[in-house]
Amino acid sequence: MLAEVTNGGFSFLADNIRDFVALTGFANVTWGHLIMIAVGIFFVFLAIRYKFEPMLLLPIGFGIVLGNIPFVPGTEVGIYEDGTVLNYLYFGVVKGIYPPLIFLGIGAMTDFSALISNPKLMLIGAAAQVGIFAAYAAALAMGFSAAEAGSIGIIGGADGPTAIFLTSKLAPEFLGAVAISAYSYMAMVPLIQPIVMRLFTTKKERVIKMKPPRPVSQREKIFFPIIGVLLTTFIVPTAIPLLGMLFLGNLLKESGVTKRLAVTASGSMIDIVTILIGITVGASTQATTFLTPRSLFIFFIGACSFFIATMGGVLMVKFMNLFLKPGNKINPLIGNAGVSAVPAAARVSQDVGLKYDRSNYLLMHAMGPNVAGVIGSAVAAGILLGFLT
Amino acid sequence: MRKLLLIFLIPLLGITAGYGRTHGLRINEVLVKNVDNYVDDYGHRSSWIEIHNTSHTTVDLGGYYLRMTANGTQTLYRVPTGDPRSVVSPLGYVLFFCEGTGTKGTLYTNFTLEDVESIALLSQNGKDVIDEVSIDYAAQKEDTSIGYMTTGDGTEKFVVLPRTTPNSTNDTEPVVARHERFRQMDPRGGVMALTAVCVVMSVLLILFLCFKVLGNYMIAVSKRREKASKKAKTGMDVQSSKGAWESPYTGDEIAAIAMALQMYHDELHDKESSVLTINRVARAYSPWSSKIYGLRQFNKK
Repeated sequence: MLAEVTNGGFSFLADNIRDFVALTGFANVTWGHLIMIAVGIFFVFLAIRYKFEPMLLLPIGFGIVLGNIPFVPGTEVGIYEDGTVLNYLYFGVVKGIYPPLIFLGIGAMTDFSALISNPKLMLIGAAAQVGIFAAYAAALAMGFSAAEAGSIGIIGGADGPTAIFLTSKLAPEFLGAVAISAYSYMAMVPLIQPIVMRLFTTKKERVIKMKPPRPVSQREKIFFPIIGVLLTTFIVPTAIPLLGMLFLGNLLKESGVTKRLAVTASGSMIDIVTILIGITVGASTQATTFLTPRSLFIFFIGACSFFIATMGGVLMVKFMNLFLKPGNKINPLIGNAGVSAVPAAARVSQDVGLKYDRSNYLLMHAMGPNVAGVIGSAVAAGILLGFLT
Repeated sequence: MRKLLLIFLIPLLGITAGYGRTHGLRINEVLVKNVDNYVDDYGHRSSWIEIHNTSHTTVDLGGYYLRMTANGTQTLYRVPTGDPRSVVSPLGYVLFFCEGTGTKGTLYTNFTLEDVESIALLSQNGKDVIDEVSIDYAAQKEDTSIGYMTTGDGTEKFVVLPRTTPNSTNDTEPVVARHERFRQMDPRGGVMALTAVCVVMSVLLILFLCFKVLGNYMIAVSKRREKASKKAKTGMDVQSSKGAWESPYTGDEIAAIAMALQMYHDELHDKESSVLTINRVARAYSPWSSKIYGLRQFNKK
């Protein structure tokens, strides 16, 4: 009798332990999970060791680790399972809520003076968007559908929030791949862009000293977001969520009467949204949905589009210089800043410029095309959205 | 005065905003002679009217009216409020059965479509017509409905439908997704690239032109102001040279006096601060919260 009870108890315990072991990550792990966890840890390493866009790469990297901890489906922990915590947070990505909030913060922390004082720099921001459409054409040629190609193309804009916003509308299944690709290339701007900048410029061009920008009055700074939002959104209404928030944020900053709101938008709020977007985008890259040949294609096209975008900006400056008087020439090293990775791309212009002339500070000048790039990529996203939905 | 203006202006703006709101509802499909077609919840076949919410927002039909005109007589049916079945989701449909009793529930009207001349959907005040369709009763065929359908040229027309489609879209032909159509028309993406680059370029070009003009204007304004202030200054100089008043001190001396006065005023403190703040500086030490004993210390170099 005692033996029977003991045997029954042991088998019950053994069954429980077996069930528990079956639920652990060790029992469900695959090579895919391990690869993705390694990628996540690599991102965290890049963020901490080399400080490559740490605000983005660290939460994304950690999110990748979290999203790839193996689990048994149905235990209500996964990001793609209805009603889970991560699923609720992911809602902001899927429905395109986070990107406009990030744009609000970007607007509240961006000084458009460089652009206002030298508006011709806007054309550089426009030219750099050529990367988006080159990537779109390349994706079409590789057999992606038009909507998918649009999502992939936007990586060339080097604008994470815009990429997420557009992909959530056009091809939600590519959200993880596109976001990771966009953010990784944004983080690698200091590695990728100098190569293209050197390739398309001469030594003489690299040392061009630009005229210092004129001081901009507060009235002009207030006019900028108002005129900007009216002009851009009337032409591309589909970009209202992004551009509306960007210009609102800037008006909060420049009006001088809503300091508290501007501080919140550019401080706590953008930080909170950045954490949420980073962790959820990272977690959305579950090995089962992410590790496919198509993701590799997306990465490849994304890299190409980055090169083309940088090239577009640099060549545009060279083209503009053909028509400018000697004293007004633009240094083509600020052409790379036409992509909207703010302010990383402008910093690259400054660093590369200083290498050739220790007294040539290009940062302020590069901020012009850089913020024009933000506007340009949002407009481009609006066009893709308008054409393809 | 400004406050008064605001008091009048804000409600006026509110009224204007409210006026601009549209319903987005329409009578989408009507089946007048139901012989062997859609069966209602009671197992009966009666005429039906389909309302479609063309907007992207939920609309509650509660309180709206359906008006049927037959032989010159109008009959109104008020949709009861508070019933979730009368709530139409964005781009959704709701079907009203015209079986004539009006006692079977929200979706059953108090009129039939016998000899119908027109059907209208009225707003909650029972007067404003949201949509109205005229019907030739004699021309209606059994089990054949009339409704909106997209024609070859892409416009929607109220016509006889090839098949009845209660609670769903009337366009039954397979539709190619817009992005796929785009791909078929532009397989290499050239048109898209060209159009989009042109649009982006033109948007930023317009912005450039705007701010070029604005910048020039602002520079002109600041130059004008500078000129005016210079003029005023010169005027003052001329006046002083005429002997109105001549300072016995040089500019440096005046600056030194001003600085001394500033320092003197800074050091004055004729009014002591009346706020007394006592900060507790002693830190209570407890071995329970101390990490000295619990953690291994690093070697001190």
